[in-house]
Amino acid sequence: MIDRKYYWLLSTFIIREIRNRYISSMGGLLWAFLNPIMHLLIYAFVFTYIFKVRLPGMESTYFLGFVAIALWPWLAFQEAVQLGTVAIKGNSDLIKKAALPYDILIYSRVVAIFFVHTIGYALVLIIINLFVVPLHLWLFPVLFLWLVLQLLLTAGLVLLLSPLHVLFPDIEHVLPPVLMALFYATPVLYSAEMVPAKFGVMLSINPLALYFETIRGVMLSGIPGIKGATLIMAACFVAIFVIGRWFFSRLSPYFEDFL
Amino acid sequence: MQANPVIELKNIGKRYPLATTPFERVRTLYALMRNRDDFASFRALHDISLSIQRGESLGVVGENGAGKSTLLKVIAGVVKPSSGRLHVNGKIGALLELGAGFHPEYTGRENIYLAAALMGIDREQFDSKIDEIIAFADIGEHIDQPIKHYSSGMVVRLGFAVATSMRPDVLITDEVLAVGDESFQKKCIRWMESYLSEGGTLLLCSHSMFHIQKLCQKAIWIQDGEARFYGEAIEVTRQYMAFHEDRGRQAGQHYSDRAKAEAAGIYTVRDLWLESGGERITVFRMGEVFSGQGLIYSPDDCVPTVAIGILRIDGTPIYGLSGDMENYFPNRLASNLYGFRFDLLENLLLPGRYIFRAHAMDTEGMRVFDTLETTFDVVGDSRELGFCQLKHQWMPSGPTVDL
Repeated sequence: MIDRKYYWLLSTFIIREIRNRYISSMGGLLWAFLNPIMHLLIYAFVFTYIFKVRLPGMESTYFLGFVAIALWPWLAFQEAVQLGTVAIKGNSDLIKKAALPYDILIYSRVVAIFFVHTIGYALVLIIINLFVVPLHLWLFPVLFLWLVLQLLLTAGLVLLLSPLHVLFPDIEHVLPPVLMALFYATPVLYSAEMVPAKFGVMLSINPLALYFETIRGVMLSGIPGIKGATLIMAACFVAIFVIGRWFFSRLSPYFEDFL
Repeated sequence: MQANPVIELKNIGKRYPLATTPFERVRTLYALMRNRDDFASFRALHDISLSIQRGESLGVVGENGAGKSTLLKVIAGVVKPSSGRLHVNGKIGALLELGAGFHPEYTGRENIYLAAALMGIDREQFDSKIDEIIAFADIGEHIDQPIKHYSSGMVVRLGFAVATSMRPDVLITDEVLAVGDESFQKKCIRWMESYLSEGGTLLLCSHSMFHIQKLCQKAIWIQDGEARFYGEAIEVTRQYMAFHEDRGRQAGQHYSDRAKAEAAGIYTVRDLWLESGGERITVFRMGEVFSGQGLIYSPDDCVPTVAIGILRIDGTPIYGLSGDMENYFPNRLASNLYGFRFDLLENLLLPGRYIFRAHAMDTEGMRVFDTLETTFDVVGDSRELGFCQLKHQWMPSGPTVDL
C-alpha cells in the first residue's frame, strides 16, 4: 500500500498528529475523551428529559448506552472527514518544502483520530457494561473489524475530498452542515425501527445506516452482523477507498502547483 | 562526459496553472484528470537540460523569480516537472527554505526528529546521530525550547545540521548561507568544502557570487526560467555580474542624439571601435593588446582634440588622458572628418567588463563637445582582485629574527 521505507515516516506522523492536537493544552489527551462524553450527556439530557424519547420497551438509562455505542464511531468519522479534508491545505508548508508522499498526511490524520477515539470508545463500552446495560464485550474483536472497515471508508472519502479542497476551498464550509444532515439521517440517536415507514428510503440509501445498526447489534444483541447485505456494504466501503486512492494519486502531483 | 551522472535533467519544464476563478479551476481539474495540459499556465522553467557528475559542485545564479528555487525543488523531488525527464541517482539532502516542516510548538530536539524522519532516517540511525546534529547546530540550551522562540538564524542552523548529518550523496541548499551569522557561515563553508573533497555533490543557490566562486566548479545562470549560461563558475558569475552592472548603468544613462548634435555644428565622435589583429572585436583574452579607433566630425574642419578613458562597467575610472597632453592630434581623413587611433601597448586589465570612451574636444582641448563609448570584455581565469594587475614580485622577508 505504501512504500516500506515510509512506514517509519507514517508512524512518526501519526504520533505527531496526536500530539499536535493536544500540545500546549492543559487537559491534553483527556479532551479526546471528555469531548464525546459531553456530547453524549447533552444528547441524553435533551432526548430523555426534554423530547422524552422512549425506546420501545426500554428504560431511560438504556438510551445512554444505546447512543454511546454509535456516538464514538460517528464522532471519529465526522472529525476525520472534517479535519482530513483540510489536511493537504493545512500542511502546505510541508508540501512546498519537503519531498514526501502526500497520502501519508491523510492516513496519519485519519488513523490518529480513529486511534484516539477507539481508546475512548473501549473505555466507554466498559463503563456502560458496568453501570448501564450489559454488553457483549467478548465480541469486541468483531466490532474492531467493523471499525477498521469504517476507517477504510473514512480514508477513502478524505482521499476524494482533500484534493478537491485544494482546488475548491469552499468545501471546508459546505462540509459541516452536510455532516450534520448526515448525522440526523443516520440512526445514531435513534434506532432504525423508530423511523416512520415513509422515510424508510432515507435509511436504505444511506450505507451508514446499515453500518451503525450493525455495530449496535454486535454490542447490544451479540449479533456479529456478517450477512449478505453487510458484506455488500463492506465491499462498497473498500471500493470507495480504492477509488479515493486512485483519485488522490491522480491529483497529488499537482498539489504543489495550487498551494 | 562520464557515463553515470548523479543527477540528469532532460528538457525539464515546469508550468504552474493560473486558474483563479472557480470555473477555470473546474476546467483545470478536468484537464488534469484527463492528463491534458490545455489550461492557462505560467512558465516557471523551460527546457532545462543539465547533468551533474558525482563530486561536482554546481552553483545556481539568477535574479529573484528567475526559477532558481523551482529548479532546485524539481531536483529535490518537491516539485513535479510538467515536462522532461529527471534522473536522480543517490540520496538527496535538501535544505530548501527556512525550517522545512518544522512545527513551531515543538522543541528543537523534537523537530530534528521529524525532519530526520522526512529525510528517511529511522530511529536507530537517528539516535546515533542526534548528539552530532545538536553539536553542529550549536544553539546551546535552546535545543529544548519550542522553535517558535528561535531566531531565523537558529532555525537555519538546525536545518543545516539535520540536512548534513546523513552525508547525502547530493546536498541542495537554497540561499541558506545568507541567514546564518558570520561564524556559522564559515562553519557551513568548511563543512561543504570537506564534503566536496570527500566526493559529495553540491547544488548551491546563492546571491553571493563569492560563495559560488569559492564552492562551485560549475554554475548555471537561470533567467526567466531558462538556462541562459552554463559553464565554469568563475566565468558564469563574471558574466552575471557584468550583466547586472550593465543594467544598473543603463538605468541612469541618457543617450545624446547624434544626428542632432552634428546638425548643431559641434565636434562629434562619429564612430568608435576596438581592434585587435586587424579585426573589430569586443572580447579580449587577458593580456591581449588592442587599439581603440574612431572618427571625429569637425564642423569647422579645424583639428579636434581627442580624449580617451577606460572605465569599469560600473563607471569607476581606471585610466584616462587627452591627446594634447602628449601632443597627439587626430589626422584628417576627409573634409570635416578626422580619425584617431590609441594603441594599448600592454593590457593589464583583469577579467571583467569595461567601457572604452572617447571625447571630442575643440582644438584647444578646453571643452568637451561629445562623448561616445563602447563596452568590451576581458576574459580569462584569474583569482586576482581589482581592475588591473600591478607589476610585482614576492620576496623572502628582509629582517632576520632570532628565534
